Amino acid sequence: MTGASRGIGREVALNLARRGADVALNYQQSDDAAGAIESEIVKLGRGATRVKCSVADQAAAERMAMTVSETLGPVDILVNNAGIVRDKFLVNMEPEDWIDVIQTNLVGVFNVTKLIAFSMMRRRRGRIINISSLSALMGAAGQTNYAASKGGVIGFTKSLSRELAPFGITVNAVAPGYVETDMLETMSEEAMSYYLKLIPLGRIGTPEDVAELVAFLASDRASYITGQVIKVDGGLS
Amino acid sequence: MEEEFDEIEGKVRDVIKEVLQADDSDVKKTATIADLGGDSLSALAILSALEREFDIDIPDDEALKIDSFATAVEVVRKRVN
Repeated sequence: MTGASRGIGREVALNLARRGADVALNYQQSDDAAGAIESEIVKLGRGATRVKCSVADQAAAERMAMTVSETLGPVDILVNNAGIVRDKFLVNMEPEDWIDVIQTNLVGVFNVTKLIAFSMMRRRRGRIINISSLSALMGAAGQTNYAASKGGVIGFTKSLSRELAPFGITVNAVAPGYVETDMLETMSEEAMSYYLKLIPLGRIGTPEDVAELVAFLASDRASYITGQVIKVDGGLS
Repeated sequence: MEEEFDEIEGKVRDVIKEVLQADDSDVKKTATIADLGGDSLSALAILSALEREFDIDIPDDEALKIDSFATAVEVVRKRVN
């Protein structure tokens, strides 16, 4: 589970642990938060380990994949959730804002998935769930970089699903709409009340709403679903 | 001129030949799995066959490097010696 210390990642990690999974938590910043989730998972009687590294760093991501399989065993479920935002209008965007977001959100998915997908192919089992975003499907002003990275994740998901289908491995993307996380704190109150009016279900989503779908896609119950992008957006799109 | 194969190279060649249904003369030292008509599925089959033949476990990061006769020999040699 990448980007596991906060927001959606945190909730997915706990949800999967409650359903019986041992969980490897990857995170980049929040040591205390990751430690707290690790203890919570151990309390649930499941195995947990945490690996602090940036998925944007290929060598580090590959080392992480090896470390995790040595500690907890081979990875059966990979959730690519690590993501950053650097919201700016395009005309104000610096090349670094563009590159950093693509590097973490898109190249990071490549870095983490390559070795783990190979291991899944050898064992002919696995579930890969990539967290995309509604921004990739609807667009969002100020998020050309983020939406491009998350749109890339959708193309990646669809192509990889075809490569891995012969091995019985499914690959899907989840596209959350507006969800209560730190990421949303960058949004102004005016923007928030504007979007609230547009959401048919009349509320902002919770990380649990997203975690429930990820848990379903990770389960045997979802064995005939692959290459899909499933939105969790309260009906917004 | 015929290429000389040592014991490991000979066994690797036989494994590749069998999995890919290739001829002796096709499996040259410079051959890649793709050259011989293989794909990712057959690369995995070669990997499993090599592990059985040499009674070794090849970890994922090394296994991923196997895309040719030469890389297969290199990975096996490291485990056998």
